[in-house]
Amino acid sequence: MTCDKKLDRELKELVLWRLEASVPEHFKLSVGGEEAFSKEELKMHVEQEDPIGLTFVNMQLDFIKALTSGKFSKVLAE
Amino acid sequence: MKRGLLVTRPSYDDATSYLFYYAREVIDSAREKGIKVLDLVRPRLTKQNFSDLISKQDPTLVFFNAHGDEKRIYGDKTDEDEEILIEEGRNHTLLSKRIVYARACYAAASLGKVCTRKGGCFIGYKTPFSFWIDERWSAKPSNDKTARLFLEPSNLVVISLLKGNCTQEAFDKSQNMSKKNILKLLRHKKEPGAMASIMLLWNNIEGQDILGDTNAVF
Repeated sequence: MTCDKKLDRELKELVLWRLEASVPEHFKLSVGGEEAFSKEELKMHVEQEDPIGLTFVNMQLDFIKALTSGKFSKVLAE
Repeated sequence: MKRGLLVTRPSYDDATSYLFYYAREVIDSAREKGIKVLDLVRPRLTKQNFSDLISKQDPTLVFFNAHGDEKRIYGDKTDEDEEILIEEGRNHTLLSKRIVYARACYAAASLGKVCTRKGGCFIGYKTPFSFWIDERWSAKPSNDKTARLFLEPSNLVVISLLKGNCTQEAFDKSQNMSKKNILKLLRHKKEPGAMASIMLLWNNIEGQDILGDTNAVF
């Protein structure tokens, strides 16, 4: 996923919804060689589709794919 | 090569200050075992000192705690810039034939591959190494049970090596502890932050990689 390609609107909404639903207000994310980001900052990065936002989207997507493909359960059972 | 552990520990933002603290637990474990530790922290954490220590002390095991990218691992931040300690194509051969654990983003994607061309083992992450910080404990990382979910399994890479496990065993133990943490969280998945932590632990499991000699022993 590159910065010049716009995210699908539904995908962005899904990631923002998951962010809102699963991340407590007191959590900060350390990722990607940058400062740690609050929930509100993460939302802003996803909205802007900048490198931090896209990294977070990719992480969410990889996790969803692992859940839906059965890979997540398979790896945990190993 | 001499049996010793070199650790880099910058501390200039939330992420590096947590790594700084948790790497200390590994250093304590090494010292309890009588292992020589070269602990590079500010103001001694410079590229020059790092290179000199590698050349003169010739440590078997190098443990980076830092920001990184596909071709670089950084050291301390002075003024505006982070100093590059290791860079592919410039001084990566300093790591050849050693056992390296890079707790840094992306370093296994490219740098790790070139470092192990002439031998040695590189354990790191081909994706971002990431973790949640509970802001309520950021002044006292030892009490941050959320961050511990991520940093303890990564510490286990080096702690296992210090116990005499080979690199593949150390890698496997780290992966298994992350999986156990996911299973623990799944049992309490309605607790705040549980699913967010599971997602990140999964990404760290998937991104962690071992390159080079999987039978190397410290």
